[in-house]
Amino acid sequence: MHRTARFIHSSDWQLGMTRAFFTEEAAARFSQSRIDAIEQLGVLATSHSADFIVVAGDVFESNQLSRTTVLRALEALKSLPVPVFLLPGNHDPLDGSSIFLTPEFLSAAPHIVVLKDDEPVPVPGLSDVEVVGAPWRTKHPSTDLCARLLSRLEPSDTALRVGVAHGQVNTLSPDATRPEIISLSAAEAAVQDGRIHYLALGDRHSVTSVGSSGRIWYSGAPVATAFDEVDPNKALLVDLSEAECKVDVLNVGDWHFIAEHRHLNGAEDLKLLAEWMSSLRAKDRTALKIGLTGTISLHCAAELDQLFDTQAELFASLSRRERTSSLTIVPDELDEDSLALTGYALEAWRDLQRAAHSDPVAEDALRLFYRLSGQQSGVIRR
Amino acid sequence: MKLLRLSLENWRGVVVRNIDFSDGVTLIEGPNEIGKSTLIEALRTLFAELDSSNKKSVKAIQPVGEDVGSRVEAEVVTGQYHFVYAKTYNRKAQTTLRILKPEPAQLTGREAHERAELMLASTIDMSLWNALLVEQGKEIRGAGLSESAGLARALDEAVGSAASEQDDAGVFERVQAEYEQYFSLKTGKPRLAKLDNEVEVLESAVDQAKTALTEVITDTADHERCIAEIQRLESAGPELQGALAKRQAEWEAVSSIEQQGKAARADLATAQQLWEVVRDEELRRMRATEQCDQDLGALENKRREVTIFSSRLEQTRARNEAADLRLRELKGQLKEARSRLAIARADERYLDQLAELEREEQRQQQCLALSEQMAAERAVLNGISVNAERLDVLQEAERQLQLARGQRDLAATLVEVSALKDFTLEIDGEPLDVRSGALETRHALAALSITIPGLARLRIVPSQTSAELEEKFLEARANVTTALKRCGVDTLAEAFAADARRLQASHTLGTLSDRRKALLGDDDEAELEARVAQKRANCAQYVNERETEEALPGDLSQARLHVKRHDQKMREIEQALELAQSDHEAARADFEQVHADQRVASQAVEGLEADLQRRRAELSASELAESSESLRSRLQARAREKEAVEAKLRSLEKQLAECSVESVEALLLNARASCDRLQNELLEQVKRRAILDDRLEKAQADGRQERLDEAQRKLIELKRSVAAEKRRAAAAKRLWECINQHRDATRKAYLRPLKEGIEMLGRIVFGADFEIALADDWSLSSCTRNGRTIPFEALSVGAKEQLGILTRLAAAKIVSRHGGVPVIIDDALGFSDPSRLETMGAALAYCGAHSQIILLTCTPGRFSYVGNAERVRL
Repeated sequence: MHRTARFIHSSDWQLGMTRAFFTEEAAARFSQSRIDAIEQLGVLATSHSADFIVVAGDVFESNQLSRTTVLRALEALKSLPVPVFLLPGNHDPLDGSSIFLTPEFLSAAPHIVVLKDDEPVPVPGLSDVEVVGAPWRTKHPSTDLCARLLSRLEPSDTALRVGVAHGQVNTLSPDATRPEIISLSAAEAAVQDGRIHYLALGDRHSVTSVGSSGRIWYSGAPVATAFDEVDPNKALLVDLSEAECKVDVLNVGDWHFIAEHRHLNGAEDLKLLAEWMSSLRAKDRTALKIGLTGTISLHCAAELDQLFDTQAELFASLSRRERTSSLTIVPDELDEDSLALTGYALEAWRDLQRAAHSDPVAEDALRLFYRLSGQQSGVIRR
Repeated sequence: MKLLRLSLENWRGVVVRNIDFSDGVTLIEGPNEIGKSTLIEALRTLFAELDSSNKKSVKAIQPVGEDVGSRVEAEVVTGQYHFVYAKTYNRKAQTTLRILKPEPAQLTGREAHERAELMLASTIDMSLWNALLVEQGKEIRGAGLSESAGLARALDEAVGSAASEQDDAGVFERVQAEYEQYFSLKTGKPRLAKLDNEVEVLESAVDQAKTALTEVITDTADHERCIAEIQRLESAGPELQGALAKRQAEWEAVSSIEQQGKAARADLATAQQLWEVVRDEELRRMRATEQCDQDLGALENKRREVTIFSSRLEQTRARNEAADLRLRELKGQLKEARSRLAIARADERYLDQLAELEREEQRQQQCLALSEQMAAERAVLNGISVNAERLDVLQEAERQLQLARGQRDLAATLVEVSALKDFTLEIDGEPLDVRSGALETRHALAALSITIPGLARLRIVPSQTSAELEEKFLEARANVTTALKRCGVDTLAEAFAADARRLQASHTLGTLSDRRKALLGDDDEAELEARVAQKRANCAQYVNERETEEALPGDLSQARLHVKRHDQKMREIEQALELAQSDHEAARADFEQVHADQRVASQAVEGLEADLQRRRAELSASELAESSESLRSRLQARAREKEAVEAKLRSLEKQLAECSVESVEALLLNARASCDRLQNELLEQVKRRAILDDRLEKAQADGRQERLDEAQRKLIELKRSVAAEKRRAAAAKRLWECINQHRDATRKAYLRPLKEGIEMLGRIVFGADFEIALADDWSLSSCTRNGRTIPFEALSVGAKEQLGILTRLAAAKIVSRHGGVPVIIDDALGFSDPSRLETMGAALAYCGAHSQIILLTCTPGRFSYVGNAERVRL
């Protein structure tokens, strides 16, 4: 028998997640984008003729979400053109407060299947493909759920079997203190002896193939959620048969979390920074944090402030990384000349200038002074 | 700096003007509108504006409707520099600078402008100079009143800040405005409290959301534990049930023996009860017999007591009677003593009255004697007619008589008859023998007829006066006679004697009357007599009526002795009586007490007798019903029954002890309790699960995680903006403080030279002791003259204007330490009187010696006193 299946592997939708550094408006957009990603997966399923979708955990950011968020997610799920298998993960375990156990979810639609236990579930409409999951029932399981599931399975003669699990594998995050860590060797053994033919993993937000079988994958998050993710905004298209497993990476989301560090020593560097920033695309879906080191003049600092003020309006989030920033502001002769201060004002200027080396308040005062005097003499137009 | 020459061409309304300035004071005359402002404007523009300037103010210079360039040229000496500086604006713009000293040079364009600026800046304080020029552009007359404030503003702008455009606020104001955004200028309080508040609100929202979320998480964990517990309990059930059944069977075997024991124990209780009934009966009988014996003893005792009381009653009765007798005896004695005392007192009173009677009688006799003497004296007095008044009348009549006689005799005609021989003659018919040689004299008081018998008859008739006097004499003599008669005497001497007797008698009568009055006192004779009579009667009556055989006491002192003695005796008896009375009362009380006691005891005896009788009757009745022997044998039979039941019970208890009931029961109870506990716990957990299900279901759609995330996000957003705001506030504060500090220091640096300059010039104008006070903001706060300090505001308009000018002159010296800068004064001193015009003129002239002063006026007369002024007419 030559059984095949084509499906989309996704995970870590984290519906309901917000980011503390976003403004209200950006936070709303961020939420909406992840709902949109569900529909996007539906479109991809159609265009790639996928038979179903598996989501390997963390569909929801938490079990404590608002009704609005849950209903909107359900609405998007209902609109999917193919069956979708949802696995409860560490964020949305199948505990007493689980969203998957609410009446809305239980009665939502037959093509939305929650993997509640270890029993293999046939894919609706396909007689020879089944999905089996290792759902999280609590946030802190005392065992490797995946290994336990696999140990109970017998090799199947009748169906292609897609395993779904959630968590870190021990080769990537070796941590003996965490009992729930997934044993890669156990998984590989199960793939080897045909208990499962593909293991869809979730929890890691970056697309990653683990082990050597080519049948064990993390799909990564469909929409980026953090600065430390590698290659997010993806899903996997899997062509599976007993003989072969082909995995293609699909683009889904369009959010970017960029952490940048730059040296700034003068007008030229500032110009380069400004050009780089303006070259970034999809700014309204980009969270950018920049660390700056170097020494600049007051004039330059004023322009930098101006650059940030302007760009902050465009980005979903734009912040200075205080921890990695050490930008020294040194007023130079040019600054002083352009101000044409005299008398006591000039003396006050010099006083602040001396203090500014060691006192950040004095530095701020100096910048303010620069702005207030410049306002009038036309050095800086705001 | 000195301005040697200023030329204008096509400058507003001026077509061409060239003014040469004096080294000192230049007095420019001309109508008011002719253009001091133009002069100042041209000078300012030349120094400040590039020839290419497109400013509105520069454009405005161009004459209306003419397409020509406006030119200004100034020849200036400043420091070591001497140069001619010219600019043309708007058309054919150009700048030229011809330096004459120290190194001749010729420059044009931007270079010329910059060089001129450099020369000026290195020799004078350009910012203050500019400020002063601006100030001078204003209307001096109007500004006169606020002159010092205006200058203060000028100085303020000069010492600080950026080169400012006229209408813009200075840097200082902007710094202050920035500071005020974050702090109250007055109190320095920050204005960010509201933001802090918002942070607090959000923080508490986060806390709430956290709590809510924690609740669900806890509930979820509880739910998990609950389910596990239910599973465990359900699986433990069957084992416990089996154990319970086994223990139950064991227990049933044991409980049958226990049942028998219980029946035996009930039998024993019955036997015991029956035995006790008989025993009680016997006890009761024994107690009744004992009681009878006891009662008899008590009765005997009581009876003895009654006997004792009876004998004591007799004793007390005798004592009582004796006391009574004694009391009565004493009472008799007292009565006797009282009557004796009364008699003694009456005797005393009688003797006293008798003595009184004797004294009164004596007095009565004395009175009588005096009355007789007084009657004799009165008789004497009645025999005398003279009294003082009559005596006076007599004396007066006598005196009148003497007087009348004298007068008559003096006026009478003296008739002297000398006898030549003896002869007889008749005078008025009366013969008179006259001897020879004798001289007979007669006063002819009335017509006198002298007859010499036989010879002649002489008739001598006195004058009329003599006759009248004679008549008066006769009248007086008649008066004397009348008076004598009334006095009852014949001569005056007798009258005197009679009066003396009268006085003597009258005196004696007075003395007697006094003595009698003394003797009588307030009484009169009749009363005295009546009283004596009464007393005498009283005494007689007492003697008659006295009721005793005892003789009267000899005298009053003896009587008094009697009274005293009887009184003493009576008092003794009274005391004895008092004692006897209390004795009597005590005896009586004793008697009554004993009597009462005896009665009580007798009653007790009666009661005891009755009781005893009743008890004896009862005892004999029960003996009659059942004899004591019968009762005793019945008790023994009951005791035997009881012992039989006890033996049976002991045997059963032994059996029970052998099969250890307690442990069987303990095991059974424990097995049952374990099953119960399991059931309860299971029930509890099921209930708990239901509650948790309910809670979790309710919390499900709450979106607590999302709420917490959102609250935290908002908090971070706000905190970030608060931090930024605080940082800005700190910067504004630091800047404001810093600039303020330097501003204050700079102001102080200007303050001293300005004050000294003004005072130096002020002494010329106002006198040697002139002083001023400058406030920190440079405004003139007061000035002192002739030791009096006057606030600036209170000064006259003239004085304010004069001080304004002096302040400006002093300021000009500060601008350039070497010779000052030109000071332009427009049409001032309108309010100054001639003497002040003179001193002001002197001050201006004095300044003119080292700095340049340009006076603009339309009334040159005001400046006549400026000695060294050079005049220019426009």
